[in-house]
Amino acid sequence: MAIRHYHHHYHFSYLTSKKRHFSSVLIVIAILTVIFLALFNFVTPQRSLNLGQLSPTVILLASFNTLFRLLISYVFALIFSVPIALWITKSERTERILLPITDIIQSVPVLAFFPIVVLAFIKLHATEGAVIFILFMAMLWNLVFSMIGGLKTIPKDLLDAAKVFEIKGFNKLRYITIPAIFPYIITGSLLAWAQGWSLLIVAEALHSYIPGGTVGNDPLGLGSLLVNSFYQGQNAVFLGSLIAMIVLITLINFFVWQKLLHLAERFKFD
Amino acid sequence: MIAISDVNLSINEGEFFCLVGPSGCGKSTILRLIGDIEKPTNGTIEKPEEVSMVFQTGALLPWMTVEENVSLVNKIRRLSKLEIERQTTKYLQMVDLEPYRFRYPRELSGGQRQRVGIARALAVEPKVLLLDEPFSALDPVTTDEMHEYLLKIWQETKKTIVMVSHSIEEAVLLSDRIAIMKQGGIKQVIEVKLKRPRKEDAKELLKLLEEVKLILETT
Repeated sequence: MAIRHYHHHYHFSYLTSKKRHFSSVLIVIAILTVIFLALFNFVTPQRSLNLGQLSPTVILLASFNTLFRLLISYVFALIFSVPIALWITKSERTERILLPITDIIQSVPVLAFFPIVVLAFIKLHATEGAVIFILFMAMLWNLVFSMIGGLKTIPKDLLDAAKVFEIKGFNKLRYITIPAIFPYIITGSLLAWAQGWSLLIVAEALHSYIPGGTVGNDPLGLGSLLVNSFYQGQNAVFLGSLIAMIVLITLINFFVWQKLLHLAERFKFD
Repeated sequence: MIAISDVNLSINEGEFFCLVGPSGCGKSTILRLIGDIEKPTNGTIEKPEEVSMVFQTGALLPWMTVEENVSLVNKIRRLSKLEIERQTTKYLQMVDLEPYRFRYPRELSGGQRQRVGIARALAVEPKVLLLDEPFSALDPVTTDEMHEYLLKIWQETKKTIVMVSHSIEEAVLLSDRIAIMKQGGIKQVIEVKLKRPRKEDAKELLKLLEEVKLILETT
């Protein structure tokens, strides 16, 4: 057997190294902790906003809630964007028809296009559903258009090779298409999350969509805290939420996006 | 638009066959038809089941190591681990790249990458090996080296090789027969009866070269 040596620049490999294995376990534990914390919080009564009794703990909980919503929306957006992007780029004809349609959908603001859907969620008392739906729609198109861009950069020789070697269907997706557009998925995700963060202020401050709605209808989150504390002149809460949001965005940027952008380098074509 | 028409061509088993001609004459199309990349609008192609191909750019997956690139197709075809390892090692050794198996394509030279492409094509145990201008992006010294590799592999494995080339010199140096193409079809198929190993500056070879050039130039 040959001795396995990894080039020091690219220590990530398909062959999982122990070090990488360990770090991925840590990441999974961290993600699960956040999800469980958020879930526990979702089932407790303190899920909607009450500006009367605010403490640093509430801001922390709001951060978890917001992060959880963004994560769920992102996962949905990611799952939906792959087939949509593949469908649009399937042939020249599908692209000619579908691309303008999706272009219109994505350029009209989510809230202008889907108030009915949002209202339906609210009528069903599924406020969380409404928030996640808005964030999902905001995130989806960044991913879709990035992926379309990526799909067009796959070298023709590579697609021909897939045909010759009869790599098709799921195998083609897994071994060729997805890795080939991986850098584009990452940049699309970055944009999607940025879009998500900026839309939080609208998505979580839903009470203006509910006839006769008050601040009490808003789900607890950094977005709703920011908007409502600002309107009510509660500067301490406003500042606290703002700092929490900045810290969260910085941490995610540092621990997630920087790493993924570095990893994406390996997936680029020369 | 018609790329090629009235093409009637038979290639013998174990033969080293070359297609030459000006760009846009449809020589790559013939290769793509044999490789099942494109379907003919009319006519039939009779060929063995296993056909594989080496591409101009190598067409390697940059996110996979040399070893992973070579073994991918066998992995997808669910060969046993032992069998995959055996094939991968065998063909990496054949192209002298066994020590590079854990490198990534970007860490290799152009010639080495093309050799990985050859190893990958051989790893599926094809009857026919197609090569689409495989050395056109390489420097002359590397190209000479690649010619030697290709001849060695051809003699060792007894595969049928069909190669598209823009270089008549290459075709005359390597092949048993050459199809000289014109726009949209085959002009003439000539046999190269020279003994191997062939020298680039041998008199007979130069004479044949002139002959092929003449056929290409006359309309």
